[in-house]
Amino acid sequence: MNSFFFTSVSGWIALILVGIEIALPYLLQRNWLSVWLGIAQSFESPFLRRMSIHYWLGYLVAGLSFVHAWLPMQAGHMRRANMAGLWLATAALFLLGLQVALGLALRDSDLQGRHVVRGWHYWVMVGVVLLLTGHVWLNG
Amino acid sequence: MKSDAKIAGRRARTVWFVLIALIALLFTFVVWKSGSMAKTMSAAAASDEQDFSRNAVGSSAKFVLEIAESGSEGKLTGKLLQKKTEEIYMRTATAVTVRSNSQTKIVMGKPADVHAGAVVHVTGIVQKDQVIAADQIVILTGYVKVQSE
Repeated sequence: MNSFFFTSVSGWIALILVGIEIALPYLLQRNWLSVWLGIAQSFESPFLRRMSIHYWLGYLVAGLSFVHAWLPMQAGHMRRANMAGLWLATAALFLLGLQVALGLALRDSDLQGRHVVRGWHYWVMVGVVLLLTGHVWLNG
Repeated sequence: MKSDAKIAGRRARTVWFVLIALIALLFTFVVWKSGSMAKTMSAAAASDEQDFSRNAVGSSAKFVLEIAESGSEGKLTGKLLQKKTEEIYMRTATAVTVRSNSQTKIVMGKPADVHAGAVVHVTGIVQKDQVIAADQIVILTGYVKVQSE
């Protein structure tokens, strides 16, 4: 049952990290939320440098999601799982890869068309959330 | 001014500390929840032919069963499985009859998962006719492999 335990833990932890990933850019820039929480006053370094934790957690989420998918496939536990849910998870994994690529591009402060790439980064995040909601609903 | 900055810095640290503590609590909860689910699945205590035959009427029994037939009124018949490793079970010659009802708790699946060919872990009470009245059925289908002796 070890593979069940690690599959379950990696999935739920990845889900929590996705939530943290989504919240971080809002917490790390000066807006009503960070001012209200009182963390905006402590901002000293530039925004893109403050976002380094967001970058590293992003890589961690992608890696952990891959491990979460690989463990049950290797153990042969997929037979009783809902197939639609697994397809949603597969699509979410691809979107996470795209999200990492978009995030890497956004790390460059001189990026041309930054506004458009940021828009894509936002909408891919919305897509990931919808797909993960479906995956958790059907396979959780 | 300096003291204002100090207060703001302290407040920011407190907020981050609370957020990190909440995340740590969430992590602890999911590890505990996954652990307890995995524990439930591997709680195949008396998956042994001899232990099973020694179960007295009224005593509680825990075993893993491969369902051969799922009849009406919650009657399940099948063969007792013997644990070899965490994920491999051996078929035995011991026939078992289980009776479930609407009060029987189904874990890790739905009542529809209790069918012929399914592998389930049963917790129940031994009745007079050696039929087990199931209190809980854990669906193990897909999580364990069954081998012939």
